[in-house]
Amino acid sequence: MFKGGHGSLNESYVPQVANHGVLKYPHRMNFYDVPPTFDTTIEEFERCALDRLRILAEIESSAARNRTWEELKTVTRAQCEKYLPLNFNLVAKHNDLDLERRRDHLSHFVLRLAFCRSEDLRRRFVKAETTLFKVRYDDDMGKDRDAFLDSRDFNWTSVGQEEQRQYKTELEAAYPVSKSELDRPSEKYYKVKWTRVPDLVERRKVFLKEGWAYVPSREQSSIVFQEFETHLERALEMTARLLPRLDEDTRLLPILNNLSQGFLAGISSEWSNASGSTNTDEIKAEMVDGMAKKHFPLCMRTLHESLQRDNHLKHFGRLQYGLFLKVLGLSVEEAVAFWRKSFSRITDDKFNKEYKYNIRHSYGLEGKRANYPAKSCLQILTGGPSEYGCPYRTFSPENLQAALLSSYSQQGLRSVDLPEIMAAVKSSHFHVACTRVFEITHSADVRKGDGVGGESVTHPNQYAARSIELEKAAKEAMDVE
Amino acid sequence: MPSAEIDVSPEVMLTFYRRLYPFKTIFNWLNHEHAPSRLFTHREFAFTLQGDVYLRYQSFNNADELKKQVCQLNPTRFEIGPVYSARPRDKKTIRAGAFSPQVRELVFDIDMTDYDPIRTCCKDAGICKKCWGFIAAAVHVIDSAIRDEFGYEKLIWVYSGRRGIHLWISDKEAMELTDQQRKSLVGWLTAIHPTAKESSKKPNFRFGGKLPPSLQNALQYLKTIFGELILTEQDCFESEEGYEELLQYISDSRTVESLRTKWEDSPSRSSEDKWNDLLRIASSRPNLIPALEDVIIQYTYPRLDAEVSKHRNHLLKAPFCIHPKTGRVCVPLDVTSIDKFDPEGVPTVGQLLQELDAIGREEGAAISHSDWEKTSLKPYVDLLDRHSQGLMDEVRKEKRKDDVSW
Ligand SMILES: [Zn+2]
Repeated sequence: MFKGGHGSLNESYVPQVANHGVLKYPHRMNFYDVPPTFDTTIEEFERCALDRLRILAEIESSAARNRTWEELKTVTRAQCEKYLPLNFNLVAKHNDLDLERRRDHLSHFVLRLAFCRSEDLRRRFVKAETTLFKVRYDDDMGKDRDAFLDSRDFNWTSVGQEEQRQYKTELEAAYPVSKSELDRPSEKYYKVKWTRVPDLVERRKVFLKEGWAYVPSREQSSIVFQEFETHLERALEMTARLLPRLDEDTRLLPILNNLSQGFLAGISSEWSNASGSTNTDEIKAEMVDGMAKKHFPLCMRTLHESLQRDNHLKHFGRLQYGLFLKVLGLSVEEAVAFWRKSFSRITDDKFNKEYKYNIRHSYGLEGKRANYPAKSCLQILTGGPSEYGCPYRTFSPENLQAALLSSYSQQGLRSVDLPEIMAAVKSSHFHVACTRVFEITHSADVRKGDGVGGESVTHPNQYAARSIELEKAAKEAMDVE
Repeated sequence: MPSAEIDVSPEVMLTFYRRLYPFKTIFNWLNHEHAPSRLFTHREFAFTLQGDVYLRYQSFNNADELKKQVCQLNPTRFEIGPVYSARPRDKKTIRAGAFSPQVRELVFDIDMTDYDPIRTCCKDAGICKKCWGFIAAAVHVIDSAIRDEFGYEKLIWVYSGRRGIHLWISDKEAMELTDQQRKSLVGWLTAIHPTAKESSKKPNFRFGGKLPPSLQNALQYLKTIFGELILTEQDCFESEEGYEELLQYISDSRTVESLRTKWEDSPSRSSEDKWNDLLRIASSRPNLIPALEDVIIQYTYPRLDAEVSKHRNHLLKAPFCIHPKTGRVCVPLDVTSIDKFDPEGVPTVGQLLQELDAIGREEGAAISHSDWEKTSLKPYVDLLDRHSQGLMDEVRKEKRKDDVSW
């Protein structure tokens, strides 16, 4: 519907006229009945979705932290303001309104694709989306809300005067009014099938007659929320059935996988949550290469080297390595500089258009502390394309041994160390192999069995941070001496 | 010979299945039309074999297949589950996600055990005509709530063979209810939580002091049976334990004290006398009335086994099975004569076989497909057949409507 000349012509003729008729999205809120049919870039596709994901993740963690409804609303509003603002009709200019609403529309449908894949994901997505809907519904203003509700057929029938008189006693008993409300003009009722208001039925807070629930206007939201939830549940199941076709689009699949994993990991990837960026010293773009050789685990060494060799990394690798560098402590400016230098074969124009925003974005915009955690070992081991997986798992034994020697012989790894490492690999104890490499390459400070600060490697950033810490401690000790 | 009547040996069961069990009737009732549909072919049957071996996910193409398998396995009883998205017997070859319950009759189970804390006539597995009063009251309340409030019409009540009753609702809309919706409906019909030990907690089913309309409807009826059932037959407040329970509902401690003294002093006062004492006080102190209403509801409102109703995939014993402990047939019941129903009047499998024998001697031994017609099973089979006819008429009407819209 956004294709063709007609729409754009209209837009240029009547810019920002105070007439809601020209809004492509006349309502602030959306029931998401119609999927977006406009063209979008793959970057916008991902960006919007990640923005929405932050809001949903915060909603999920609100439940985990047992926030009250009011607290949840405050937190969710703040997240929305930051990532996916949705203004009221009277507040903003029309162009902005349509843009905001378009992003809201698009992001919802992208996440549907990402979260329809398993029953668990569907359930969590429906719950978070319904909560978001309720928060926005609560904030919506009377007139806007009425117009929004009018835009959709809820199949509710107004209860006529006569019928209302007929069931006067029952209605009054079902919806007791306080004394102060008594002089209010009598309440309006709507009739829906009882299955539309199961929560009211379960608590016996409604009048039922022959399968119809008589719902007073003040309980109308019950119908709306239930409708939103059931509709979304059904739509997700439908999408899940259609998805195999979509999987053929190789550009989308990694993004969708990544999104759903992001939701699963939430913001709770233990390691990055605990530490954020542990490195207080500023890391410059030109320092990365040197640090890689001294401090990175094999997975990140591999990504770094293929980036240097090919002057390119595919999407998933970019994301994985980029988040790792972010948590390592590379500022957004330095990250842009690093990637610009590494992608030496493309033009500035192409870089700015296709990559820059994404890098800034992975920083959560404006330097906000990591909301997208870097991938943990578990995620690297289990998800994503194998070329960016854990090398201890994906490399053939010969390749792995060659890679280990070429990567770590400068830090003291010798071929006599290999049998022990390969034995761990063979029994699928990849983290044990990685931890052993760490011990060997830091043998000046770490004894066998010490691991990474007393534990096994569970996260590439944990590996790197500990390595940097040990180097710093050694330096300081020397300074004192 | 009572011992012959509760003979449920494999030989007896096999003869029963071969000659008496109305498979065609069960098929029509589950299938809603003559030609086998998914309602039957995708339906789960589960068999309990001799020695308590449990066999799930059986399914059949038609009534004859079902009969053949039943006669072959000769189960002590069998149960009916939901209609799945695929044939249950193919379950193992189907992707897990592609096998899920789709539709299922909305079912209820009321069992005498949930009334053990209040009934005084029998205990445990026992049941008599007196305590059947509780079940009858529950049937009245549930039946009219389902019809008047939820608008369902295709209800059939089935005696469970010992001390309870099942309700199967076959309206299309009811069959399509999700588990979530079933849970909500059960919530609506639950006022007493049998697990919460009564005395400790006073019931709380009022909003702002008022009873919701559904409970008011129930109360109108329950008031009419409370006197005979609770005061006369069960005599619930006769013992000290019984009347102390009653006094829990009265919040005014001076009233409680004076009644307690009075009742302690004259232990001969019957439940009815004690209730009248309360009514007399209430006539001058109307704020006591809600408490008395609560008592009536607490003692007579249906006590449901909620778990049975909440999930589509819950299995429930098929009508006309034989209860292994009593030998009685799980017969469908006519709700209008539920008050007169006497569990001990239900035919046992032994009795039915004796009837068959008697006919056999008279007519020569021509075994026919529907031998039940000649036994006292007939009125019960006819009852379910009439019910199924209603379901089939409904389906035919629907189909005709579709034709017109074409
Ligand atoms: Zn009894």
